[in-house]
Amino acid sequence: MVIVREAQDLRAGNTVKVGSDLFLVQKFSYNKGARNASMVKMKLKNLATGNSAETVCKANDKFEDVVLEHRKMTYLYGNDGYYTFMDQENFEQMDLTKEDLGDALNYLREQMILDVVLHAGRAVGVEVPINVTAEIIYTEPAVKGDTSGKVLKAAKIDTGFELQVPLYCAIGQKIIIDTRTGEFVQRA
Amino acid sequence: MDIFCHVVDNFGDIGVVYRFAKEFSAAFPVCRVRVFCDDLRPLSLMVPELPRFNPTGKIDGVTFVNTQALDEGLVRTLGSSDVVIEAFGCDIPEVYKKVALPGAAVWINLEHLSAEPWVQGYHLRPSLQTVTIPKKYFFMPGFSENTGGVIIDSRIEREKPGLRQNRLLHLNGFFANFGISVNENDLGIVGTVFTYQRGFDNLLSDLGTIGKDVYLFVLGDKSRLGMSETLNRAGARQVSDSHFAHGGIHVLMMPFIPQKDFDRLLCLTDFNMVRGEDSLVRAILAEKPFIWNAYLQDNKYHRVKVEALMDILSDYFEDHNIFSQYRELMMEFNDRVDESSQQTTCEDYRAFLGNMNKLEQGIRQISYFMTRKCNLVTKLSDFLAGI
Repeated sequence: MVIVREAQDLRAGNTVKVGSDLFLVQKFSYNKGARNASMVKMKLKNLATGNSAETVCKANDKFEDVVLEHRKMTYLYGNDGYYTFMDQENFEQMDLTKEDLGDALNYLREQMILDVVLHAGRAVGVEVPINVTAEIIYTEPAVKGDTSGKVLKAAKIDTGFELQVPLYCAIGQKIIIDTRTGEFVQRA
Repeated sequence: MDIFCHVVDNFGDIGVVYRFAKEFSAAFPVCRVRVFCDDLRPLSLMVPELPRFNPTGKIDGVTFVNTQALDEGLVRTLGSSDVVIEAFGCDIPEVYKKVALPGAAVWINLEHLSAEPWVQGYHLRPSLQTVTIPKKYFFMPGFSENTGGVIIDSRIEREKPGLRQNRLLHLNGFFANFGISVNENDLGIVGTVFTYQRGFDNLLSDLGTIGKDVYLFVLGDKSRLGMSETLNRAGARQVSDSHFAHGGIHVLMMPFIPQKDFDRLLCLTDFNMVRGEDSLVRAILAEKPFIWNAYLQDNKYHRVKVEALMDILSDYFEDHNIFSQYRELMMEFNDRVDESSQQTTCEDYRAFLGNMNKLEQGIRQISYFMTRKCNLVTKLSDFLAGI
């Protein structure tokens, strides 16, 4: 059965089929256009050629979804541009590059367990959960009394990734992030 | 070039497409330009000269085709074009996709205008599609050289000097609709109001403090409705069917006017209040102080778009205090979640009305830049030439 998904429902780590080619989503961003119409920008890797390229499309453009083999693996360490993961069942280790990881790199922490995507027996990417928890390691001091969440400030999380958080957030707080958009969801 | 347009609401979609098609055809007369649209009634109001089409009609070098009349036979008769443009992500009819689209060299999604910085990252990016021939690209209008720019209307650009030189004469042409004739000494302040439905209590109140006669041309059903209810609340006097007076403020409820007259009127006033994207561009190019009523979006997302516009405009204003007050007015004006005729926002127009000369200088600067560096038709033709 062919599963069709709208572009806005895709995220890093998903695979789509166009023609006879398989493309792995490495990066994904979503932007609202005018009149509540939206667009997405993705970095896609052609799994046959290994080439990556950016593409943009309407949020409701449809793609044939392909589910590749996923394995639960633990992220061990990064070294010299390679990121090593270990299979939780057979302890086999596999390396991914920065490009393979795409947006997942923003949330990657040692000992984190992730779904590694395999194609032809080789690791080609990872799929991070839609929501991840992270700790704020730097932001300007919290503003007491502002609980509206409408006014935002910059914050850096423990993986080094920077995002916008509400004014009431403070250093040391754990927050939940939507990995599809890289946006703050709520305090953990 | 074949341009597809789906009329969602109001006049914006087909208004922009007509303007773009007309300009492209004028710039490249050897190019065949066709517009495929599912509802040409709004355009027939904006362009009264538009001929009846059955199923096609031609004006300003552009052939219009009723999309609803498309079948395989008609598409085959019409044939393919080198360039296919879908305006604002509208869906191209399947019969065209099947029969004519494969014959095109390039397929472009011409998107809505936005001042947000992210549009630069989408502009001219290829779009992976299940239909892989022709190759599709996104074309993102915007306010910087790294975007698709805006549609510069050559007709109004040619007319601008004459409009400025004979301002009173041309204004009296519009006043004549109301049986009014104004001389230079009595002119006071002239403005337009073309917004979504809202209350204008604060506007009337602040206009009442400037000590001059004010003439407000109110355009569009939504503005007229909001203004009528505001005038009722204010106890304004009805002078004639469409002329109301409130102190020294004359509110003139305009009938629907053609696009070219709208463009002219914006150039003749002291300030303009406009809605939607195309009128925003016209207001900027009219080089008068303006207030923009952005199209309402969920969760007040339209304010993000207004904020982005103000970020762009900030580069063109030298007096930071005046600009800061202008930004505050624009943000407050757009702090709404729905349309109603009540005054639900707290905007204060006094600084805007008191600094119109300086605001005009800033608007002129961005207009100068857009006209010379950000002509959408030029940018698109440059892109097409490079394919």
